Amino acid sequence: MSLELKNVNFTYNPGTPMQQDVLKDINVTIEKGEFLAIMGHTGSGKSTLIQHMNALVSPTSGQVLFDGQDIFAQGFDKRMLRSKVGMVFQYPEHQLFEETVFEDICFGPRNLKLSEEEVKARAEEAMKLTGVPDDFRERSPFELSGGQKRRVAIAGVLAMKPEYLILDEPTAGLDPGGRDEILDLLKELHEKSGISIILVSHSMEDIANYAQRILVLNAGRIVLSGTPREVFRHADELAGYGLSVPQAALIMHALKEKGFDVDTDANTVAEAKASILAALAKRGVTAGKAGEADA
Amino acid sequence: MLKDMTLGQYYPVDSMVHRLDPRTKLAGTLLYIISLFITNNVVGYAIAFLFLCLCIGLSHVPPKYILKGLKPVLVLMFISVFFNLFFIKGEPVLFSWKFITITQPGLRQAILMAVRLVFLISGSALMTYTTTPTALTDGMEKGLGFLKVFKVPVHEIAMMMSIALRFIPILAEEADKIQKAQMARGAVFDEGNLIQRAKALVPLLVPLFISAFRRATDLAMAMEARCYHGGDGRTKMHPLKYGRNDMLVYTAFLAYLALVFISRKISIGI
Repeated sequence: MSLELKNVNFTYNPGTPMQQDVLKDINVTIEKGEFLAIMGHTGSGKSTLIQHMNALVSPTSGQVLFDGQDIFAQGFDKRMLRSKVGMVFQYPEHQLFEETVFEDICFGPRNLKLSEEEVKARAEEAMKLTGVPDDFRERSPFELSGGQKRRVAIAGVLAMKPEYLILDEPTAGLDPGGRDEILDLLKELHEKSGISIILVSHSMEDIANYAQRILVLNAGRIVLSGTPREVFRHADELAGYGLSVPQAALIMHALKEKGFDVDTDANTVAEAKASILAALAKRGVTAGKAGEADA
Repeated sequence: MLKDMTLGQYYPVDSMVHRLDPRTKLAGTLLYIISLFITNNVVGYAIAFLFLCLCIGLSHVPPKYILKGLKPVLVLMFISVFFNLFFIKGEPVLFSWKFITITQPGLRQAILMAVRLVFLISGSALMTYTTTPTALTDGMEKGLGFLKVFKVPVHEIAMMMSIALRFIPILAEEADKIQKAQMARGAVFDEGNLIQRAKALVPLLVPLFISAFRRATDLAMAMEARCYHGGDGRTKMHPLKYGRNDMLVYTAFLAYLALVFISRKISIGI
């Protein structure tokens, strides 16, 4: 069970002066149950890349395989694919349109031609999973706050029971509280429901805290890929792509330069704290010994 | 979907035609259209064709690109040919079968009308291929400035036009995104009968309208925050000025128009 992109190339307006190569020779396999983050500078092709995964964009050349089947082959059921590979776009305003929150969440499953009871049951379940409060049910989706709209948008996709959930910058424009809520929600979905999460993000902190694997995209190519630890080791290279490493890692590098014996691979605040305390403990011991020697 | 339309899209290359004052191109296009309605015989059309070829050659826009732009108006052309061919009565009759009759004047008119349409559309498309929308509205504002005397709000109209033009690609892109967001939720836009298709548009149009209104208020606020107060006393960053080439082109157009007039007197029997 996997989602696989093979030698995917994508070009806008081929053969005119407006020609633009967006993706170049992309090869990536996403296993079921993975938490993958895709990062890259604005215009690096992230959004185009994820739109290949549920057949919203077809590649100029190359293949996209879902469980080994070519999704652009004749007769492949794209509606089935889009229910299995759910996609939440950056702005919830792009998808909310119904009069009430509940009706909007029902839109996806209804398109799958399920029975009305099944549609309602799935919408209920999605509301619970995403923590959309019950009293929102009859409210208009347009009166909600940014974070709440996003929750409803995610619920609207989850109601289709996807195996893969792709999110394009789900935290953009949210305040810190709303951001953490959305990310924790994703983590919970990943851990409890076993859904693969594919997260496109600018925020190194978000990625370091949540992702198992990172793809770095620059000018349409995958330039780095690996665990957060492996990827964030390339601080200079990342800077060249207009990206940085998490702040915790920056501090660890600075401490190392000052002679502290800390783990420069620490990318999250928790890891950094543990490593600094350990380094201090070591110093404490040596400082104590030095004091004794003086005496 | 909307991005694939070539008709009227600016073609970004550098050429003598691209650098002309937009007023020259506007006036030239207008003169060319008028000339197409003055001509009444093959000689006139030949002159119009050669002149168009000259303009296209100078513009560095590939002829293939211009032909591609004609595709959306093919239907219009067919309708025009159809009506001219079957409904013009006259002598001699070339072909007659039951209620269908094709006459020589009808055939002649159908062909000339189709040619006229092709020239007319290629000519005006050439203007939009070589002029950015901003330059075009600038040209209109200045070119029609004399209407201010008759209390026509020329500046406001030009401003509205340029804002509308500026919003077209933004809204087209937004529509594309919304369409994808709804397709990701299993929406289908190209299936079913007319009513089902119209209904399928609701999830696309509601977010699009909301976004358009929001963008409009945001823009109005941003303009007011920068003290926009209409056209009075407003100066231009790049004031339009006629150059030597513009004069040359005006002369060429007048010469062309004169030629077309003369061609009316020539009759070679077709």
